[in-house]
Amino acid sequence: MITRSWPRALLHIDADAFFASVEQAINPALKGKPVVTGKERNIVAAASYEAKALGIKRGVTLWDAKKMCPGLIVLPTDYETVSIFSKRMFEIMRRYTPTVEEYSIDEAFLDITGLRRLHHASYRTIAERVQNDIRRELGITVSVGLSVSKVLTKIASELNKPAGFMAISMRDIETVLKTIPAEAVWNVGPNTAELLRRHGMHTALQFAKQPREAVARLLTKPGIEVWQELNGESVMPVIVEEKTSYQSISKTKTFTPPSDEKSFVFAQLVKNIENACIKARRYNQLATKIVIFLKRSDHRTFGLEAHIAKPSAFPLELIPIAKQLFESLFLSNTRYRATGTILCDLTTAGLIQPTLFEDPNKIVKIKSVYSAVDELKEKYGKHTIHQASSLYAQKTQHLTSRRDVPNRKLNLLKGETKRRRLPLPFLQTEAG
Amino acid sequence: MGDTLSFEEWLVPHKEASWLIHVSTEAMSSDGILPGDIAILERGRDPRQGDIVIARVDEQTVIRRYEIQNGHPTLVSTNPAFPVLYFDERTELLGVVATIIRKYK
Repeated sequence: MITRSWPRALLHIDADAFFASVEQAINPALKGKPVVTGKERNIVAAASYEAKALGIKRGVTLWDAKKMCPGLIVLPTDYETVSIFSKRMFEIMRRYTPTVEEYSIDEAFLDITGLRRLHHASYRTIAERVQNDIRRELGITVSVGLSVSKVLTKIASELNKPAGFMAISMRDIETVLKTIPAEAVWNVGPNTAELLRRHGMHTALQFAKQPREAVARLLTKPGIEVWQELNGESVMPVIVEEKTSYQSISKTKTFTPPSDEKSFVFAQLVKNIENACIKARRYNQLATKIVIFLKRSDHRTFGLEAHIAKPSAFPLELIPIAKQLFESLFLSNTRYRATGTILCDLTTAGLIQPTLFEDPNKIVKIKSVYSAVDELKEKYGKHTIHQASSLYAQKTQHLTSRRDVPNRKLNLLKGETKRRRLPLPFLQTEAG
Repeated sequence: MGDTLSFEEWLVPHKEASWLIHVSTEAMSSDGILPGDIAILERGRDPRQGDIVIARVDEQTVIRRYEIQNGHPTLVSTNPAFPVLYFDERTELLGVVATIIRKYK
């Protein structure tokens, strides 16, 4: 039994209402006001705390959101600025420890075990310094959980949002877990939660208090790990590598107005496949499974998947497979509003053996075609070269009004282009 | 021979803390800062006497020189048409200007 308060010291740092906060940070006039992003998709993608206070949540349609709050400020998502903020946030964290796991665009795990002497500060003070640097330099707030395992840091950061700090040391575990429902624990899915409930475990504490043998009988390895972490035993590592391997790559795009024209909808799908392939090739990944899905104008989505005999990241090889799936999925006289694809079960390129029935010359040819395509893409932009079948999707991909484009893209500096801009946030106010 | 510094490192010394803003005022023209210029400001840095800063005052964003006058922090313009602004609890400092850029082409 470990009795020290901090056998490990891990942080979970979670940006508060990240996408909306970024907008408020670059435009001081929006501070303290209800702001949502997602204008380009007509749904709330992120809501500021002021908007949340009025009951506006992620996923609500803009129409409903505006009804709930007539003065709501609705903005298109500015992915470019958001990713600048994300990168900077991780950079600030790395001032304090090299062990930073970029868990998602607005969340990270940090390992600060043993760094108290280096920083001449307590773990709590180190956490507060990271929090302050982010607030001062980026103008956004983050919530921080300090604890002895990843699962416990997740619980801690959730407990005191926004701009909160919460520490759970070995001694605090029981007191805190008493108040946490089992299903609110990270990595406990709805099915596991149901299983735990059926065995009388409603709170995280009831789960944590089970004897190891009982847990081992009930759950598989990931579930047992959660149990260990809840008990203060850190078994999930903080993974430092930049994400270069993906379990899956998905690309989806909504088009307005919805369309029932088969060639147009297929072109949209092909374009998504091309995009997903570009990303896969960039990370040297090949897909062994492809999923395609079509979303109808009534928002119902239907999909099909196929195994790919020879793993690939090349549209020339994947599109014929997707075409077959599309043929059985597409219904005439039905209007569609979005298509998408997921490349799954990715493997690293270079480890693949050609199958017996393949023409090795053809493989080499396809590879050299696409390395040329990737080069042109670097020089002239994505979709310089594309499949003829995605032509319909190339020009009229979206009836975007100027108001749906982030300001940063509308107000270019001399020397900037639509494709390339300075990687600094631009304050959306003028200095008078 | 010393190592070389890129233009970027020279103009934007603290990249994670640097932001851009358009200047639209004549308030700093005697300091050589003109409407249309772009300022690179650093956030999270405490201003020193004489620094040019960007601040938020009464819902307006301003660029001024930071000066302590009789113990009070103030925002001053070298152009007499612009009054001295006094810091109060509602004044928010957005950053200290590190670089001014005027690009012609």
